[in-house]
Amino acid sequence: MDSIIKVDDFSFRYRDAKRCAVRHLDFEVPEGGFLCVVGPNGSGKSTLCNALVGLVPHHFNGKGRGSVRVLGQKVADQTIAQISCNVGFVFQNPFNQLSYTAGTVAEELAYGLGNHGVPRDEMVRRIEQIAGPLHLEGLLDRNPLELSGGQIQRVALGSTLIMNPRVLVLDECTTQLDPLGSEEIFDIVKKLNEDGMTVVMVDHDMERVARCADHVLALSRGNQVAFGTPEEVFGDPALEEHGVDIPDYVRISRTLEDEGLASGPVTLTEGACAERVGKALGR
Amino acid sequence: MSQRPVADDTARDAWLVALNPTAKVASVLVLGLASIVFPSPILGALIVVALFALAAAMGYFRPFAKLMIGFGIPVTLMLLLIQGCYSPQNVTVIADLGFARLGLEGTLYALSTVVTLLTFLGGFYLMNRTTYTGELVADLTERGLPPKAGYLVLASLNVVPQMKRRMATIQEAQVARGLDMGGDIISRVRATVPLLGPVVMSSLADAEERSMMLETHGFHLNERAHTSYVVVRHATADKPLVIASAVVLVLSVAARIASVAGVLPL
Amino acid sequence: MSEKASFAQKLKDQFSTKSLVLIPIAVGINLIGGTLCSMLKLPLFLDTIGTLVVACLSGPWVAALTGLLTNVFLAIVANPVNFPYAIVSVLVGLTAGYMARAGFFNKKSGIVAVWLAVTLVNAVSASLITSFVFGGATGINGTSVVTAAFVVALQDVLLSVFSSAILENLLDKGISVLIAYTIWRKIPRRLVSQYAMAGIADGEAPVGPGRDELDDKLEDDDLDFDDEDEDLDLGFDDEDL
Repeated sequence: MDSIIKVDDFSFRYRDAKRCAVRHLDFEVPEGGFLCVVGPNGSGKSTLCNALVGLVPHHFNGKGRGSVRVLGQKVADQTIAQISCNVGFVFQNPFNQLSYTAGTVAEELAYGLGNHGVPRDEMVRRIEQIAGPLHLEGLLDRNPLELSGGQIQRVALGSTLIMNPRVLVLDECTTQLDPLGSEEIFDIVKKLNEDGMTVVMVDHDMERVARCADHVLALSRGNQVAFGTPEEVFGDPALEEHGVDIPDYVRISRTLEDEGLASGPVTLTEGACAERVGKALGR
Repeated sequence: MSQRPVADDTARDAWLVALNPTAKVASVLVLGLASIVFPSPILGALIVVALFALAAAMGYFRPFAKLMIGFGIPVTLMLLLIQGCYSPQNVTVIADLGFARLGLEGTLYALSTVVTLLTFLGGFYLMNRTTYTGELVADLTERGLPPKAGYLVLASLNVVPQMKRRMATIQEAQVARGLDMGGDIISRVRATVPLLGPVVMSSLADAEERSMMLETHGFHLNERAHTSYVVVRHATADKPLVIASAVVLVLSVAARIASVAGVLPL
Repeated sequence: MSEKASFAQKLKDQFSTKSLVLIPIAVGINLIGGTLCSMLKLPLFLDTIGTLVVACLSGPWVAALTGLLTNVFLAIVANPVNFPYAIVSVLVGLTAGYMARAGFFNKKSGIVAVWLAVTLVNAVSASLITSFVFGGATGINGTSVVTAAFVVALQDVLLSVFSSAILENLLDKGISVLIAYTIWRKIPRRLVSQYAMAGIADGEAPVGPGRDELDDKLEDDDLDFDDEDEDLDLGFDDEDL
C-alpha cells in the first residue's frame, strides 16, 4: 500500500526557542491507517501535528530540516489552504476553533467553503451530508457560541470534514471534553477511519490508543523513541523510561510475566488481558 | 447589532427586516448627512418624527422613545446652556435667563446638533433591531468589501458576549474570595484590575489558536470571491428608499448652497 | 530598497493573520473595560486598554485600526456620538504604537512618558471634536456637566472643554496605561515572539516575521545539542496558557 504520509528525517526549531521541538522524525502512514502519537507534555506532539497541516513552517516562524509529505507532496511547497483541502485538523480548545463570524452552526460549517468560493447550493448539500454522521441535525440553526464544549467540538470537526479531506489530524481533541462528549467524538472518528479516512491522533488515553491504532509513534523531548504496531511499541520495556505512558493492560500482562504466571506478547485490550489473567489463575 | 439570523415573516417588523441590509445602512447614513448639511434644524426634526412613526409602526415605540428621550433631553439642555448662552456667534438675544442671555444663533446651532445626533441614533437603532449583521457583512462582501474587513466586524461583535461571560465567571470567583465590588471609588477602581487582568490574558492566549483555525480554513485565499451561506435579502422597496434618501440629501445640499449664497433666508 | 517600499512592507508585516485575529480581541477588551466602568459606576472609560496592548504587540497601525473599530462599534451599537471620536482612538493607537516601537514600554520612566503623551493627544483631539463637532457637550457622561460648570466660570467653550478633558484623561489614561503595562509584562515572551513587534521587549531591533528564515536549514549543532539538564522549553506544547 502507498504511504499517504511520509515524514523524512524531519526536525524543527521555533524562532527564539533554545532547542528543537522535534528532531529526526522518520515514519510513514499508509492510506486508511490509524496512527496514534503518544508522549509526555512537551514531547513535540503538537509540533508534529502542525507540520502535517502546514502550520509549521508556514504559520509558525522557525527553522526546519528534512521533509513532511502528504499525498506525495511536500507540505513546505504548498500553502496551508491547499493542504487543508486534503488534511483536516482539529485541536484541543473547542472555543478557539470557531470562526467567530457565524451566527448559526450551518454558517460555521460552511465557513471554509465560503473562503474557497464554493456556491451556496453546494454548501447546503455538503452540510446535509455531514450533519447526520456528526449528530448536528438539530443544531444547525443554533448559535455556535451557545453550545456545549462537546457540541462545539463536533461542529469544529464538521467544519473541517466538509472540505472532504483524506487525512484527519486530531491534536488532543477530546482532552477538554466531558467523558460522554469525548466518547461521542471518538466514535465518529473511528467510523470515519473504517470508511477509509487516514487518522493521525494525539491522545492521552492509552487504553483507547491500544484498542484503535494500527500504528503508534512515541515521542519524548522531540525525539522519536518508538514507531510500529501497538504490540511492538508497547511491548518495548524501555518505553516507560522515556516518560511515555503505557496502557494498564500492558502493565498487567507484564507483571504476570515478571511473576512467572504467564508469558507471550503483551496484551493490549481488555479482552486479551482478561484471558491472560484467567489463564494465570488456572481457569 | 442583531445576532438573530432567522426572520419571522409574521412579525410586525417583517417589512423592515426584509429590506436589503446595505440599503438600510445607506439610508441612515444619507439621511443623517442630509440633516447635517441642511441649514436649519427643521429637516432633522422631520426625520426624527418620521423615525418615531416608523418605530411605532414596527412595534418598537416604547424602547425607541425611551432611548431617544433618555439621550435627547440631557444633551439638549447641556448644549442650550453651552452654545445658546456662550456661543461667540450669538448676536440676537431671545431670552434673558438672569445669569446669562440666550442667543438665537447658538440655540439654532445647539438644536441642529441635537436633531442630527437623534437622526443617527434612531436610524441605527431601527437598523440594528431589524438587521442580522452576518447578512449585512455577506451583502457588503458581495459588493466588494474585503473578506478580512468582514471578519474584523463579525469577530469583534461575536467576541464581546463571550468575554462578558468569562468576566462574569471571574467576578463570581473573585467576589467569593472576598473582592469588594462596592465601597468608595478607590476600592472600586482597585476591584477592576483583578477582573480585567485574567479576561485580557486568557483572550490574548486564545489569539494564537484562533489564527491557526483561520489559516486552516482558507482565510487567506483571495483567488476567488468568497461566498456565504447567509442568504441576502432584497426587497422591491430597497431602491425607492435609497433614491428618496439621496434626493433629500441633494435638496439639502442645494438648500445649504442657496443659504450660503444668501438666496434662502435660513 | 526605497523608503516607501520598506514602509509598505513594514505595514504588511504588522497585519499578519495573528495580528488580524488580535484586533477583534483587543476591540473586545476595550469594550469590556468600558462596560466594567459603567457596571462599577466609575467616572472612567478604560476603553483604550486593548489598543495599548496591541500597540505593544503589533505596532502603531494595527493599534490605530483597533481604536477605529472600537469607536465604529460604539457608534453603531451604543451611540453615534462616539463616531467622530474614532479619530481620537486612532491617534492614541498611533502614539502608543510608535512609542512602544521606540522602547518606551520597557522601563518605568517610559511608561510615565506614554501616559503623558497619550493623555495630551487624547485631550487635545477630543476637545477639538467636542467643541467643533458637538458644540461643547455630548451629554453621554459626567464630563459634560463638568464642562458646563467650566463654561459658566470661564466663559470660553474651547478652554472649558479642554480643561475637563485634561482632568478626566489624566486619571483614565493613567489607569489604562498601568493596566496595559502590567499585562504587557505578563504576556509569555514566546507569544510575543510571534508578533510584528518581537524583539522590542528585549531591546533588540525589530525582526520581521522571518519569511526568509523558512528556507533556512537548521545547523548541525542545532540538532545535536541535547542538554538533558535543560528544562522543557518547547513553547506551545506547554500548557501554560
